[in-house]
Amino acid sequence: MSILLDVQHLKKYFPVRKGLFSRIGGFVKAVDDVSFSVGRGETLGLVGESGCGKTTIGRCILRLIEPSSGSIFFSGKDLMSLSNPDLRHTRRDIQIIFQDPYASLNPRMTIGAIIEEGLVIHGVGRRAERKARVADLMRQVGLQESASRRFPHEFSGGQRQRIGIARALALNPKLVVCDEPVSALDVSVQAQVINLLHELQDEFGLTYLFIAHDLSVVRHFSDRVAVMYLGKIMELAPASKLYSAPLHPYTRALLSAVPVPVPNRKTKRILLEGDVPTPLDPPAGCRFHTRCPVGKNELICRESEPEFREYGQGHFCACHFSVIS
Amino acid sequence: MKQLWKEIRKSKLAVTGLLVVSILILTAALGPFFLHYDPYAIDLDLVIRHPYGPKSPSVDHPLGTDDLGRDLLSRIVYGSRVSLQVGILAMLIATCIGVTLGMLAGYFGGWLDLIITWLTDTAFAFPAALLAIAVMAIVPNPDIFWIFLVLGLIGWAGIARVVRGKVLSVKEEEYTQSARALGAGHIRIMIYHILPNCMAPIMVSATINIAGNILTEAWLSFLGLGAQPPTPSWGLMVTEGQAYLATHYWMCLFPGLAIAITVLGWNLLGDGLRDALDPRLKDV
Repeated sequence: MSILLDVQHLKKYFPVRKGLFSRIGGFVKAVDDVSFSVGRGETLGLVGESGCGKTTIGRCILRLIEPSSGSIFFSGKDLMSLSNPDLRHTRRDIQIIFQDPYASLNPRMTIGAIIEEGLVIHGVGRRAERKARVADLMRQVGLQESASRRFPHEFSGGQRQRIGIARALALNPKLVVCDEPVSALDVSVQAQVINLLHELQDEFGLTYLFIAHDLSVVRHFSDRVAVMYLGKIMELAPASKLYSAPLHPYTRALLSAVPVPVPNRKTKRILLEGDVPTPLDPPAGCRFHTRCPVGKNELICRESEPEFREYGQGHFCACHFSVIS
Repeated sequence: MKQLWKEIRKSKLAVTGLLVVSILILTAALGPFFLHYDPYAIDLDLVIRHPYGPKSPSVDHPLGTDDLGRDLLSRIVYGSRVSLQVGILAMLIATCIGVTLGMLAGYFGGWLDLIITWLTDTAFAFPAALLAIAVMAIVPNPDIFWIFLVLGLIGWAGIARVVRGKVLSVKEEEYTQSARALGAGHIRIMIYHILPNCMAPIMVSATINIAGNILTEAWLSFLGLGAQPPTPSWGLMVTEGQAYLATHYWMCLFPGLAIAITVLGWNLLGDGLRDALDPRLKDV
């Protein structure tokens, strides 16, 4: 499988200014040295708690946020070095589906205009051709064509998300960053949207970077899954491996929290103590050691940062104790 | 639009404001066709042969006449044209400048924002009255035209500040981000995504700006720095009636009332619009 997206040592630090003269008082390390790659036609799931930096990664890849350092290669091109016109041109190939379908559609534009906008910007086709394409797209995502003259507030959350998907697909992108596309929707609607994304992937050969905080949603959707904690990837493995044989204590804790739809089955919850530390001043050594059931009292965890190593068959993990456990 | 009307109808004050403003606009547009007297026609009989002073309100002159025998009703009706013109034209100037600067500052940020914010603060700190007086005193023939300009050049700061704030928030909305992701340029984003979503605060500040302009025009004219005689400007009419205040109250009272009601009407409409358009205040 050839690599479509290759992210190397991506960092995004947000400066925190304080005091009268806006001195930079520190940095929120939202994304701290993250590397991964996504193959053509693959779906990479990116999971983690709120505030762990997964959305920031998505926006950095689209360069909606400028990364602090690192490089992002897309089909061999370095996105970081693109000039503005080149960047705008490349944006055809990378699109994003946002989390909140209530915020991601311009309330003053009709559905038709929203979906058509990308085509207009890139000068695709004539007016009539564009209209036909919009009608096509609307059918593909399961909307009625008559909806094109209506405004976003007339639609439900699920329908709005379909509009968002149609907009993202209008330009035939190669990569779609799905930024928690279903977490704002009802469970029944979630399944519909997930299935739609699946069908579209098969039909158009799309590559997804699927960001979510729900492991069970990601499980059915991803080929590989990356687990993030506090700006770093803790574990990265093929989906089946990650769910059947997780190596990192954090992944195990997350998995133990997924409800199992079997009555009377007692699962052992691994409860993590405390809260996620502030990314303004992440713990030294392993970032997870303050809450880790394994390495809480281990000196090595407190003092040295574990290497992100491969444990065979594309299973990567950053933990000192991953072999033993 | 339908939604807007629904929201406005909920508030009695807003409806009152809308009613007053509508009547005012109708008066300015159609009123002159129903008048019997030319607002400039001087009654020589009254001035020279029978110097009894202004005529009191009667069937003939419902609001009386001034000291030159000019019908006050006619002058007030024509005065509504003057005040509307000043209010709306100055508002247009102020809105154009304010929206442009506020948009640039909010959208691009950085040093441009710094400079524009600094300009806005300066415009705020500068006593507007003083500037108006200075300009009107300097120009060779102070006229209503200069008032448009002065008021427009004073009034933009408030609008710029409101627009900048709104742009700062709309810029971060996901629909703006998605337009960027589609590859939209700055101008497209500003015109299609940001401006339409800033319309609510712009409309509110523009309406309230009109009220302010009318009031400022009135007192500038009252001080003799605005409209010049024999223009039927309400502020000027109050000045002319000043000398007769104790004995012939109507010369001051009616133009004064006209100013008060008009300004009140625009302000009520502005507040009503704010309530109708601001989702945070909805259903409270």
